[in-house]
Amino acid sequence: MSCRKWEIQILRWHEGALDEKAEAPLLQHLGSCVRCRTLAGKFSALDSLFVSCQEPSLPPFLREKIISSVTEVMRQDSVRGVFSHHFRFLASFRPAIAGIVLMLGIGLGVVAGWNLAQSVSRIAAVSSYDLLSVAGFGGVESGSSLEFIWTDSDGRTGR
Amino acid sequence: MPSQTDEHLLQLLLQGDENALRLLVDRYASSIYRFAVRFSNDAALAEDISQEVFLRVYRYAFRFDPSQPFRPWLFSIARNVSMDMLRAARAGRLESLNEREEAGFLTPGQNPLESTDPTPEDRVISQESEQAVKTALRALNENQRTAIILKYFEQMTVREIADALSTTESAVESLLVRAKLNLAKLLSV
Repeated sequence: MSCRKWEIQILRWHEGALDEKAEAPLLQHLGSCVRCRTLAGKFSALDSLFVSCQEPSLPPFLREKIISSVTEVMRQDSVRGVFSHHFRFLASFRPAIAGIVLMLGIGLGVVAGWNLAQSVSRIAAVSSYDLLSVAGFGGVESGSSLEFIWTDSDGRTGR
Repeated sequence: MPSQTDEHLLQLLLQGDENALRLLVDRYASSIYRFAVRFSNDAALAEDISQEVFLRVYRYAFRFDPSQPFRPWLFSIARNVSMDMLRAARAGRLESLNEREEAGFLTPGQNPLESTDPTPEDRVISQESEQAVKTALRALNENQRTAIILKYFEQMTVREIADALSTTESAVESLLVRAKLNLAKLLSV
């Protein structure tokens, strides 16, 4: 095992998290490896240094400051309703929702455009039909297409 | 109510129970503030961080999985808030950190490291090593700093730290080893 691999074992050993089975080989290695022994010494020194550091204590006003700021938000929420949390959650998906709305808009636009184009061609066809009707041609409208029957001066008909 | 679990208090908080909020603040405000002071090395910023952490706890309580322990979740929020606010402060959007550091890190009457009863000599030595540790901690990257603070100052287990950092226990152990090696170098231990 390389020294790098022993580092974790040394860390666990300092934490008291190393089981007895693993402790014996570690101690054996520490007895023969100066680098790892030095490392173990450094870790111990750091642990002592951490212990000597004083605890920052909470400023006396901060507790009330925290409570009043959260309480204020809680009251605003109670006015807004019980689902305000979920609305706020949805707010984090605002870009996605905007994207979906945009896609729906584009889709609706395409459908509306296609319908409009159909209507225009239909109106144009119907206008042609009206002109032909005025000219004496008979016609049958079927869907968007028109079928015209003509009759010549000899009484012959055609489509 | 004092015997209630953190997880249950969080559910009550979600329903708008102010007593639950008070209990959670009583239980964790000191730890969060300590973490924030050590993470940011800035007492005034640590106050803002602490406040924001509890606001986020309330806002995101509905996302908390009650089958998971509360403490790692709380400290993952504390870490994210600390990183966000520290970056914002560095970017100059909040008060300049440098100004406070030039003023001696802590403003008068706001010393969070008020000791119990050390002798003057002890206090000088302690303050020197304290300052050295703070400076060294700040030189670590955010993950290493978080792991060290949670392990050695908040006495969290490797499992809890792994949950807070959303990583594995072996990754946390590696982080701790790397962090300690860096600290040893920085502190000339």
